[in-house]
Amino acid sequence: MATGTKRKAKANAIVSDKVKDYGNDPYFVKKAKESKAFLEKHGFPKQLALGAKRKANV
Amino acid sequence: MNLVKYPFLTNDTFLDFEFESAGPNGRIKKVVRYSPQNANRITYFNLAFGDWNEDAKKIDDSAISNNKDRKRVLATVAATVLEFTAHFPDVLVYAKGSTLARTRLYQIGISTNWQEIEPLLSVYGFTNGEWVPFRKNINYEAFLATRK
Repeated sequence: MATGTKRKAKANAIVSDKVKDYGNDPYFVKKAKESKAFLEKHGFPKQLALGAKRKANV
Repeated sequence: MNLVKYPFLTNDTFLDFEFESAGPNGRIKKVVRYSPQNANRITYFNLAFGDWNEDAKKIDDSAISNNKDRKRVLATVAATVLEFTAHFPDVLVYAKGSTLARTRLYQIGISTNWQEIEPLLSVYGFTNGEWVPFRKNINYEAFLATRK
């Protein structure tokens, strides 16, 4: 487990510079693409979509 | 969270979380990732998690760790959702397992931790072709959540 420089986050997490960026991991890339396909096909809950657009316009 | 969970780490982006499962099969590094994505011009974050394979240097999406700590692992993943949405309160979080069984795991995780989740998050499940507010004991294909 990574244990580099640490500080307490807002709630429970410990912030550590040893936690790498997993954004390019093939599994996470694949899952993100699958999620996009699902949501473009099925859309969002109306309540959440409206809220997201409203927040985006703030 | 009231249920026992593992301590977890994140980095400055608050998109990546790590913790260690401990059980009869040893210590297993788990990674939770919130990947930013867009669909229908709406930004959301895809929640995915899996076991880190140190030899392959990547997430092993087929790993079945069977470390006898499923409740604790799910409580920890749920805690990362609360942490992530505390840091980014306006975002949407989407989750869907790689298989029906894994999606069912998400459902169990939400249900088991509902007492802590419900006051803070609006959670929707996708079933029968539509998004509906989450209720226990219903099987869903996918989930979306945001801070109340």
